[in-house]
Amino acid sequence: MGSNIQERFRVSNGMAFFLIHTMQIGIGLLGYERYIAINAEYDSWISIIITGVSIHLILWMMYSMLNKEKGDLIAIHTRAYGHYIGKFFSFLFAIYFLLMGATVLRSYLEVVQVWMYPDLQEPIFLIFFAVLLYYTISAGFKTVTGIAFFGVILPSFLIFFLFFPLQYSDWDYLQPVFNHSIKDILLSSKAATLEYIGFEVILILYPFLKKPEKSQKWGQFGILFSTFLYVIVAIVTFSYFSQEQLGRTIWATLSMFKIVEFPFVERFEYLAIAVWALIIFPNICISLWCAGRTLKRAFHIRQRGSLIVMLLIVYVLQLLIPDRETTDLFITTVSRVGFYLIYFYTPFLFIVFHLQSRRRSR
Amino acid sequence: MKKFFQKWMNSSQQTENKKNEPETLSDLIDMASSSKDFVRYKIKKETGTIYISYIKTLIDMDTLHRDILPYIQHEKQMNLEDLKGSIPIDNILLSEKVPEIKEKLLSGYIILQFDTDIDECLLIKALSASNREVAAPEIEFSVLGPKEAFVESLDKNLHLVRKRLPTMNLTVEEMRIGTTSKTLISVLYVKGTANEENINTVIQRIREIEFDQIMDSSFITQLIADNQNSPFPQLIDSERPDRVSAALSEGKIAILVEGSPHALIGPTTLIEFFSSFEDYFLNWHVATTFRVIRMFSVMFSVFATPIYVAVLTYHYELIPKDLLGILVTSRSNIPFPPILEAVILELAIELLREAGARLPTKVGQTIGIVGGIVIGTASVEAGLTSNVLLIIVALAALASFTTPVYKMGNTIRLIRFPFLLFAQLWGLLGIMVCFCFLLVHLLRVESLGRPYLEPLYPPRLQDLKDTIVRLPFSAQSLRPINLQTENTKRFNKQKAKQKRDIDE
Repeated sequence: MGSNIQERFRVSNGMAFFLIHTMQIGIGLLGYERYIAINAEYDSWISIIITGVSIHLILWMMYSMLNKEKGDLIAIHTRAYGHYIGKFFSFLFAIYFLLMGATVLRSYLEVVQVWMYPDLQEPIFLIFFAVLLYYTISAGFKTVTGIAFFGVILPSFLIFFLFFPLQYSDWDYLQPVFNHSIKDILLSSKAATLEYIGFEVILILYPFLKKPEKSQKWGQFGILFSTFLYVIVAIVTFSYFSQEQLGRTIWATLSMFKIVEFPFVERFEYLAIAVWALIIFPNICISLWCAGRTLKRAFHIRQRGSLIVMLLIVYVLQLLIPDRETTDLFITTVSRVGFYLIYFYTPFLFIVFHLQSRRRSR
Repeated sequence: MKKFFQKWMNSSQQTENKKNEPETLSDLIDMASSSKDFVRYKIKKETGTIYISYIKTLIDMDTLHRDILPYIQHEKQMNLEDLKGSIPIDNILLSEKVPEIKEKLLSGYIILQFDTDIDECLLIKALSASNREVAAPEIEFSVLGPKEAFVESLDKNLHLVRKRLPTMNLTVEEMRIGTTSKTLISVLYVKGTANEENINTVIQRIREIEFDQIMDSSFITQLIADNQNSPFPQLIDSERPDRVSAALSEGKIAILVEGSPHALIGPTTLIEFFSSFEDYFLNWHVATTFRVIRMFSVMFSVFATPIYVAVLTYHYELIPKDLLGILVTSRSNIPFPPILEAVILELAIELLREAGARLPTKVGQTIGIVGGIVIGTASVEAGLTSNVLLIIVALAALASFTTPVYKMGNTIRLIRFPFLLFAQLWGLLGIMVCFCFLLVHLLRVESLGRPYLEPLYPPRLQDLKDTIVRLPFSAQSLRPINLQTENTKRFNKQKAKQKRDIDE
């Protein structure tokens, strides 16, 4: 089931790295430092590593199910719960992916409105953006993957600009290490999971890889690279800001870009925000593609049709959210759902699926 | 109802066609006689009368007078077979099929008949070859290397390619396309190297062309392109036989068209449009540097004016203090917003280019100088445009001319305008959105079914050896993966790289 994708629509295994990595890196990277430092303070880089390890484990669980079923999430759901309940759960996933795409777009537009254009004409901008999304997703998974690839490669030059804040870093901020309780560190770990959600898309796009059984190492690499990036950025941030300062800085990474200075460019963060469009764009594309694919597999809805409906929903959602509080509520709700999906639903499905398939094989 | 209508249409078309198609040879002669350049006369001899017919503007009179008429007059022939034997020209056809005779008559053959009532006749080729001599390339000029360029004759062009590739595997397939023009089109490839699938794609697409006249190879590019709505050319057109031969031996496919001095090469990638064939004549360090410069100039050409508009319209904060002073001084008297200023100047440059291209060379140069210097200086002095922008626009135009393939240069200049529009709408963010559109578009484009952005995406590290960088020839032992060649090795790497020991 689901593995009968034609060869010419598939992408090579290495692309799993970019697909998973790009889903994890998004708008969160601009300001996650403040949230994770609430509990474990400047020990929270340890929390990121702990979260990273747990995510590796979850991805392994997903791959163990996918490899056994040789299909996607919809096939797994059917095997685990039967026909109807399986479809119901798949439907929930489709909604989740759709909302994930909407959240990413919403939070990016928030940054744009706060930093660059307080009076951005959202309705017109969103029309152009929706056309762009339709143009991309309607070209199929290969194009979406291409965007994911460039979404990782092209903005990667930004990481070199972390050297500028490093010149002003004070390493004493990080000392002493390990002066927080295990509980604090774990609480920060929980906060850090929000930065990692998005890799669930592997459940849907698995059959689109050339030799999916062998793609796990690339997926795991993607997560490893995300962890690496988050830890590096966190350490640079912690050494640059004092704890007090960080507590008052919403977008710490962006604020650090502020001090980058060249003879021809000042206020580098403007450039960074514009380039960030390239980072969040594949995020939204993959989410919406996955939502459409799930609906197609579960309910045989034409993906072109569902895509238009979903774009309309995203469009309306963006305009319906009036202020900062609602935006925040929206984002936190979606990320909380993601958290439960990863840490509770996935292990649960893992057990049910393996029990069911063992019973069947008997 | 619909079916009936179609049937009716078809039948009416058929009768119309039938009216135009001659059924017998005498019909054909009658039809041809309505044209003044059709000649027909008879030579009376003891053994019988021979009728000679031809279109005088198509054939070579020398051939007729020197090689045909003397043998007809002085020898005794009883029938066409005798006649065929006595004329010392090879490849004389004996035919009685009227459509074939018609086609041959229209392509410069002479018809010989004994009897006007039967269709059988002799066809002798005497096409006059009026084409220019092989000259130096003008569009893809290179300082080093061969100075030969294709001309308007297919045979000569094939000769130029074949003498560079003396191998039995070089295959030429011919077909005639165009309902009116019946243009001869040759598809060239090296058997055993070029991918079968690619060959079939090209041949099938050319066969499926429905068009009345093919006047140049650029007609074919547009008609067989994968995405006909893309501003990006999907086949390289080259006037250099050396470039075409190199592409053929690499495993690509070339299309030559009768009457066109440009060959088409495919499948190709975006990066290839920015590589000049001269890169292979220089050593690899220099060639790589030039390619990098060309890449940067293309990026500069596309993004320079949009970024100027974006920064001056929305993000003055980006400009450092020292630079701001210069910009303020240059713009203080300008009555227009940046976008208007930029569009006016960009259009002026396009105007100059177009005028220069349409006018005869000598006048064109004058226009370029008058336009470039006089109008530019005058508009700055009058306070209509800022001199900073004038510099940027002029540099961007210059940069767009560094692309070695003419068609790509045009595309580069065109895609700047949507970027300008988006820059005006949303500043840097707009430029990024437009860039995303461009990226997605390039991801969607294919050249003969092969990805256009290769080797960037899908990433193939091995193919990067001849893209933005050009590694030395010793590193180029494999053919590009993108072409999916039947034989991937160009030469034996071990043999080429064999190193001798010291003092041996």
